[in-house]
Amino acid sequence: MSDTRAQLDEATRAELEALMAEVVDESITDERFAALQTLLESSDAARRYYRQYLDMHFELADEANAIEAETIPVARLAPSTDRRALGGRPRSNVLRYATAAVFLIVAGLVVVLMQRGAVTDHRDPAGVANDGPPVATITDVVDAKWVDADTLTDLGSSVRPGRLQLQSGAAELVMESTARVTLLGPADVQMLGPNRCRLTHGRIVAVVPTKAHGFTVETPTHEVIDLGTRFGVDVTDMGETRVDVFEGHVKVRPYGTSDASAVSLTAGRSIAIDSATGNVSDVTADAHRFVAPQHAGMGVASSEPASLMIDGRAARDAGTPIAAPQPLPPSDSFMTIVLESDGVALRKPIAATLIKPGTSDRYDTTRPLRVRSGVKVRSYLIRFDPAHDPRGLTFLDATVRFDTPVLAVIAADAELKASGTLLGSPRVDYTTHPDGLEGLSDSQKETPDTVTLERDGRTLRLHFGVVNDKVDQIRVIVAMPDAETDADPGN
Amino acid sequence: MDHDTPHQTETFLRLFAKHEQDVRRFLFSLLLDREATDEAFQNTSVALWRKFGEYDAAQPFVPWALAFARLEALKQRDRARRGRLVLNEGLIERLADERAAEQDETESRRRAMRDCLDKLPDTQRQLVRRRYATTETVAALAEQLGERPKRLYKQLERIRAALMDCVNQALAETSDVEGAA
Repeated sequence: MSDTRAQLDEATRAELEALMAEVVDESITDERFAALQTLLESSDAARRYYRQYLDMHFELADEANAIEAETIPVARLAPSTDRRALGGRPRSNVLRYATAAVFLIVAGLVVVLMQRGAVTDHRDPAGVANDGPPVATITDVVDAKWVDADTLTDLGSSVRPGRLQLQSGAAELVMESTARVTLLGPADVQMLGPNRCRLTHGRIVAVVPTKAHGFTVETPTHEVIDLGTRFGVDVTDMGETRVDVFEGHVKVRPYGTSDASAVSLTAGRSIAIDSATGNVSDVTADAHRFVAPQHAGMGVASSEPASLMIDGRAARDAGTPIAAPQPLPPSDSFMTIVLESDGVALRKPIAATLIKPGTSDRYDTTRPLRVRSGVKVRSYLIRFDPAHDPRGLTFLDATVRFDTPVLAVIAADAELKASGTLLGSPRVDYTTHPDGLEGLSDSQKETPDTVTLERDGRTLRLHFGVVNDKVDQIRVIVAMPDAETDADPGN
Repeated sequence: MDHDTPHQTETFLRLFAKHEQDVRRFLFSLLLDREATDEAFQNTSVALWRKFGEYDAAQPFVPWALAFARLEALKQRDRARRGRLVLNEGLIERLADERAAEQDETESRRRAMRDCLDKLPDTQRQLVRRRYATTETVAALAEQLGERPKRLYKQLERIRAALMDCVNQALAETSDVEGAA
């Protein structure tokens, strides 16, 4: 077996490694690039070491990996291989998106060819042989496992009327009517037509644009008819049904009856339907019921990087945990993200740590940045509460992407407390820890914390280090939908 | 080609999904530029799709795919904007030839690398993870850790060297076992 290091003298190897580090860090100059080229041209062993170095780089990146936010309508959390390290500093996600884009290109080709008849098989992507024109297309999957093991290429596949059985994971379908439906496994659904399905068991979330009004979900006893909205339906094994309306308006009526017996539901209302009696009763809203179970939790084991996409429309009620604090083994550390306030107009400027893309690792309050007054905002509290670790220090690496621009990150203790008077909510428990609202630590301290707002203005990358039973918390202020408001530094 | 059977489509998607990282890594090793790699990867993907009817399923997919990737890398090199750093054509050809000849070993190295990573002491593995999972350069990471960048570079260099040794040793042992069998 070839040991390249043995074939390269130490100085050459060190020089090559330095050059490679500059390549992957994208800091290499023209002169150094020329030196790399000369070195590679001069020696078989150098080229071999070069290839092995790159392979190692990619493997390390995979091991360390980050997480991609996947996209399902309610909230998303999907660990997957990070390809950021390909080609250097992981700050760019170009390759990741390119991968997805290319796969979609390929999947798109499949769809196009199917639509043109070049692919003549009408087999349902879930392995169910169904006839009739397509009623939907599978547009996104997150760890989806179908009951039919033969399902290979679910992404981009056309769905014809018939049964879909999702064993686990999540799958997003766009109906022919343009209604967007997410199945959260396990789920058993019959696709009945371009704007109608029957949920026998499991959970779905529907986002229905104007064009698709009238989209209907049949449950064992009732019909849930959209009137322009976003809602979730959950049917248990026993046929118990609940409906949560996040936005807009739906009507629910016993199957086969007229509107006279319909119950009208508006945003924020949730009902349960008794399977035996058909009785409808109000229940407490439960937005995170509609987060895919394997992704819920966001209970992020401390050493596991994690990623979550926050869709502010999914959880309107203050105090609702967007990421449920369910621990993941082996750690019982977890991160929670809680909506504090929604649509609050700032009565006065707010001191903040970060108000534009960049990284912060200093949390003194001597020269705070400011978010100007008058802006309507939504605020979230992110808390990392690690399990007690006798080794003393627990790290969290996480990525959180918001659906509207981040206006500010507030991380210093004093700023957190001050902004809490405007943005805090009585429905949020701030007393989880005896230290109360504790912010982040400076880089000079024992447990340095960093917060990075990416260039897209919506993605936060967090690296928190927490000693023993302390907590780290930040407040994130985001713009309201349709109000892409900027903040003025130093205003 | 005419992808006239769903079986072909499924086969292609299955192979492509399984080996896309091989193609991507190969392209990067020839282009050393993320954007150029993106573009060449997309072009390669489309070429593979179009030519899949000519693929002999009895042959391994990766070498077949890398042949297209190599062509796309050379095209990408020709298209490179003025001022972009590119390797010369002869070097790209050599790297591509040598890499294609190493495919089996590359697979073995990856498996060995994963085993070797598991053997790293916790502190080293944590450092590697931070280096490769965070968005900062080594210099920025050093600042965060309160470490001198040069010292951190050295630490990482030692870890990489140890990993490389571990991998080479594992492969040598495998080779010995196979030779003795």
